[in-house]
Amino acid sequence: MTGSDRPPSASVADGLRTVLRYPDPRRFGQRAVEPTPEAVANLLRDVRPEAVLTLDEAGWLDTLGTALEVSKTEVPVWPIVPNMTRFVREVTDHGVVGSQIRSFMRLGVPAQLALMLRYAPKGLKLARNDFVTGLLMLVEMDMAHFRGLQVDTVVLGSQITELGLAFENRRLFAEFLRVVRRRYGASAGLMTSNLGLLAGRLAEWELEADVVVTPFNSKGFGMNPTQDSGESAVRALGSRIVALDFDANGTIPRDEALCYLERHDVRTYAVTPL
Amino acid sequence: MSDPVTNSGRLRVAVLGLGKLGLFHSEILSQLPDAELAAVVDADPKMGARAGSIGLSAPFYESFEEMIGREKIDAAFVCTPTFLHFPLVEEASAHGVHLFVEKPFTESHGRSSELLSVVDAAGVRCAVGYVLAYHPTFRRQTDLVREGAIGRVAGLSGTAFHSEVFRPKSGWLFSRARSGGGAVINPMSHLLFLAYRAVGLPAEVNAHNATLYSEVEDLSSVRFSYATGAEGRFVCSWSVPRYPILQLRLEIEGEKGSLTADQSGLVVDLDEPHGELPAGTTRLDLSDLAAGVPFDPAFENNGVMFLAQDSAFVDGVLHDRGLATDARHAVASEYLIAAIYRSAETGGPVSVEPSGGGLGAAE
Repeated sequence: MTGSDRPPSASVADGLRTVLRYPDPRRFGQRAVEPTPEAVANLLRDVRPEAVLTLDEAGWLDTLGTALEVSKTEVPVWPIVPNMTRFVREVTDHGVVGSQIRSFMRLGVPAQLALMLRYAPKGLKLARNDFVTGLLMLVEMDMAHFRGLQVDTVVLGSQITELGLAFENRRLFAEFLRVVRRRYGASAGLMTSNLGLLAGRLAEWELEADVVVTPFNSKGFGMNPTQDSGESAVRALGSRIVALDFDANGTIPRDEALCYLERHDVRTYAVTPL
Repeated sequence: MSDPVTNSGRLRVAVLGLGKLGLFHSEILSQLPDAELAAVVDADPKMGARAGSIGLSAPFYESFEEMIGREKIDAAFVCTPTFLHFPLVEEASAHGVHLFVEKPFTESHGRSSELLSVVDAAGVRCAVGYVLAYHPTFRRQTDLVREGAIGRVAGLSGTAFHSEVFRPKSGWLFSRARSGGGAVINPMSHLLFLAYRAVGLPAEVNAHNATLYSEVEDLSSVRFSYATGAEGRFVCSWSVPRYPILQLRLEIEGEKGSLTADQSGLVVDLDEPHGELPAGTTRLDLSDLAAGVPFDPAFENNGVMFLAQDSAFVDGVLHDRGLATDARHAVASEYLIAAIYRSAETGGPVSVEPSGGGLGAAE
């Protein structure tokens, strides 16, 4: 084991919970954990996470499903939606509409029917011209791939969260939170590295996320615009915080990293296998 | 530039082309304190409604001509497909608009040189989107080479891998006439720009390209020989699995040490101390090199380098400061790209003019 997948010492880790973050796009091409069901099952046994925070990426969900079965672990999955990296790849090839059609064609028939009933015929046109409707459709298409897995929290990916923050799109957040809670009966999470900005906007818009997944560490790495603003935001937000990069890629000693979380009353951190 | 049109001290910027990169730059510009997103332009009229629904409140126009007739702007970000860069840059330059152009500058070195003359004659600033030059790890690597931390450079080796092309593809990006080429002019160009910025132009290029799927090359293996005796080897492919995000690695060996950078960190190996760096091996993690930023548009996708790039452009134009990715540097590195294509076509080494076709050295 290397870096942040090493379990913390019991004295510091008491009362802290872990979420397994895998795969992490920043680790693509350099991962030491082979994405085989056996390797992932071992990881689940070692880390004993409270949940698996993950993307629907290239066959990964099949691997994860098998690993959960093999390890006899009942761990909920927290989808990060939509997978924008994949979507952007497909937009380059097929355009926005073409990539939506491809995503749709990858779904099973029940999910296709459910989406058609909800969006067709007027909704499809709307989805092309209205960003929020199109986004929710993408979220639903991604979510269809998580069927069969136990999902109790759905997290909006950082690229979309940051886009919504930059353009002050309250409707994007309100609709996402509503759809996740009502349609999936799940907690709604937001992923961001602009925590100060997120806290301010949510307060202004009178919205509250159930979970916020964000870089949080004693180095201030990924805490924008400043570490102080991130710490203040954690105090101000009513949301549960899941700390990403809690040991800044292993550059902060583990106990020091976990003490920092405790000091700021952050009770959950993400473990990211290299 | 001392007189932005608003006299507010903020640079009024238009974004031309609202594809993924145009939208991304719009997002960043909307958050920069010294910039004002004044207009967005896209030839597709439907993009107006779509942009509005995202929350983009800047006025939308269907052409540069229409926009420039109504808006007073200082600068434009050209984010259209490559084959549209030349006419847009030419038109915007004629209006005295400073320019940021997504890479590559144009589809060929010849056209890039010609366009550089146009920009120079118009007296406008122009930068090209070789964004890895603003990545904290690669930027530090370049700085250390230039400061002499590893002494005279003896060799370079680099890789650029991306999982993007696994079957025949259509669209402008896969048409040589419209994009200028494949893996070399796209992912590999970042690596070539970094190598050029660190050590300048080689004397000779020997390249082998392979086309697997479409009409453009999907992988390339390149060897550089420098007049100093240094050697460079670079491999690039956008048809390798496991790299959904472009991953670059550049190792620079010197007489007094070596520097190995990728997007996660920089390994410094020095025979002698340099500044705060001790002799021996030091790993500088990205978290050691990246400071907090006003806004990170994509922290899992190297967002800080895009922010740094756009911020440097705005600052450079407002305060007349140098730009690491100035069009002159871009055209010189694209001269290397042309040499690679020439070598791959002829099947042998080709010589490179020390002046980069009259463009000068890296600095």
